[in-house]
Amino acid sequence: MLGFYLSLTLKNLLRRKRRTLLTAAAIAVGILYFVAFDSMLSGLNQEAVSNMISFETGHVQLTAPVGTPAPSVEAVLADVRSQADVVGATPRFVVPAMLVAEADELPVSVVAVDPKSDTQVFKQAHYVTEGQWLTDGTMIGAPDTIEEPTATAPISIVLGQRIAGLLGLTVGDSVGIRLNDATAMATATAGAPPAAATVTGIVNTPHPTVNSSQIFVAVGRARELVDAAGVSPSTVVSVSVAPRRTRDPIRIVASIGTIAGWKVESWNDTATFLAIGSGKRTYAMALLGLVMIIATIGVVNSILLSTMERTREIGILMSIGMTRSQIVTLFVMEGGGLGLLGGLLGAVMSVATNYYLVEVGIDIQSILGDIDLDIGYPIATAMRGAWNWPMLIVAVLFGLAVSLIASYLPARRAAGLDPVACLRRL
Amino acid sequence: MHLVEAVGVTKDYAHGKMALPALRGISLELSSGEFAALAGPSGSGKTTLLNLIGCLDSPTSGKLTVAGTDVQTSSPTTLARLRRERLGFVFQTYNLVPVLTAYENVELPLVLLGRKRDASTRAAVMSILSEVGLEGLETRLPSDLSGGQQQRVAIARALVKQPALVLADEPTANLDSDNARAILDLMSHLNSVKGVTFLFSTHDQLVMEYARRIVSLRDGKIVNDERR
Ligand SMILES: Nc1ncnc2c1ncn2[C@@H]1O[C@H](COP(=O)(O)OP(=O)(O)OP(=O)(O)O)[C@@H](O)[C@H]1O
Ligand SMILES: [Mg+2]
Repeated sequence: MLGFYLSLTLKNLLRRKRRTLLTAAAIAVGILYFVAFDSMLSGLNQEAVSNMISFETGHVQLTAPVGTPAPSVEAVLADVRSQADVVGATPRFVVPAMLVAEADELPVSVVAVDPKSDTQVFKQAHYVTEGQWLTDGTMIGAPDTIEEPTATAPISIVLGQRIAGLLGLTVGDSVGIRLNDATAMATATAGAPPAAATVTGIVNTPHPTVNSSQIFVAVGRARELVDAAGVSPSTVVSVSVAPRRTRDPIRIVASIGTIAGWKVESWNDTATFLAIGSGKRTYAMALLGLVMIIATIGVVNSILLSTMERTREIGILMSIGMTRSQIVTLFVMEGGGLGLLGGLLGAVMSVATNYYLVEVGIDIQSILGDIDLDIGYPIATAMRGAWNWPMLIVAVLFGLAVSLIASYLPARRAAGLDPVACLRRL
Repeated sequence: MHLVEAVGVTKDYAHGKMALPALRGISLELSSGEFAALAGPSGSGKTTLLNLIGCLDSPTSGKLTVAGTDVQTSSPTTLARLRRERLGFVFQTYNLVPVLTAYENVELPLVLLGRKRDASTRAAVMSILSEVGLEGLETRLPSDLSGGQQQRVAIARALVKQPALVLADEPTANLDSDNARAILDLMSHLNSVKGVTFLFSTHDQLVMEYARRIVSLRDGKIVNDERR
């Protein structure tokens, strides 16, 4: 019986090749549209998360309570490094500052890094385009000097590329750094001379925030700055951790357990601020709905036309003793066939398109031209898609379901026809 | 008990607000094994009466019993089952499902009866096809068959489930006289040899020559009922 229905369905679909193909194409385009959109969103998300991990937080971040003394931080570091799944850990702290270059001033974040261990966790060092990344020493050309020769020697700094561009700085240039301490801000007594610094490197990372607002300073020299400015008590130190395998963070968080006053988070926890995951996905779902309305209209139209063209045939089938539910089945299966074909076509088109989106991506810069893209969101200039197989399957199944449901109404209308009226039609 | 029993059956068609009577009090009995013709001019109600007896429609009033089932009070599903199990239909033209081959069209009623598409089903279909003279044409689509061949397929499809009654509405009206004669010979043969009961409508003198009973209709009434 089912075999008979299937072959009858296939034959009827083939009888109207053009209409079948057009309707299936509408469904396929709907699926493609959705999958591509979702792919770009997932891609944005993945890149944002990966940038955050590589340049901001590491896989696991431990945040010290305000005013934690350096020895306590060292103790936590040592403890974290002793964990089995940990391959690296490094401390960092960030303080807001003004970068002074001759007459220009630019608000920046001073990121204090430990040159010895920072590269175990973070990737800034791989994106140095000019000069070099911070070394233990602070003097140019003396990377291995452990002790600062004099407290007045200029501080070595590495700049984000956009800062360098804005201020017209290159390696070797002298600049000043003035930390924004709370009291100085309030009383506008920023009169103290800025600390002398020398640009030793420029980084151009995929993370726009790094490029546009961060300057990197070895942690020892940063401490001096902080102490001099009197912002030390409010400085928040964090320890970032690189796990052995990327799926270890949660295990690491668990094995570290609780450290009094410290906050221990994996990137999963931190990434929740990337609201693109939920908010924009709702938008994608709305898009899916819209696109499927078009597919629904296509299927309803196609099946309705079929039932109208085949009115006499319906009468004949009824005279042979087909029941109403069998007539409904006949046309719903035709709708299902359209959905299946559309889904298949859509899957093929989606995979092909997504391959391009993942491998090549869309170059935002060529679309936006010279407009600076700093949306405060950690993505670079090319938008890449991402593979999201469950979504593809969902989209195809959704297309199939929509087709079945959409064909039900015209099928029921056909089944409710009066057999005598059908037979009067030729 | 008769195969068909009609007592005072009427049928009105709604025509706007007016009710147009197509049948005005038909009383008729039909027994198994009959080979009967409904004769009468165009518009006399032949098709209407065949459709009622075929359980495709219900009478406006009166009592109609087909194979023991009261047509007026039965659900559409019951009537569909009755058609599926007990009745066969042959219409004037376009009887066949166009995407199905001759073989598949004949097989269709058996599929609807839930028969497996196995060797015995195949044998039944092939034997009825050869009986109506269509060997070798099984795989043809209706569009590749002549009008006479299409009517043979329709007859085979009506007969394949061995129905209690075959209703044929002007089965030869679209055929030339040679083909019409061949179809009538076939039906007559099936009636006398296999005992298949036929009720067919016609206004063709040739067809009436074959009938062993002629029920004449005029303006929705039986004006004559003669057996030969
Ligand atoms: N569905 C319908 N709606 C309205 N009137 C109808 C309908 N079917 C039949 N009639 C009318 O009922 C009467 C009987 O029609 P019927 O088709 O039964 O006649 P017939 O004897 O089969 O004629 P013909 O030889 O032309 O086929 C006619 O007046 C016809 O116009
Ligand atoms: Mg008629």
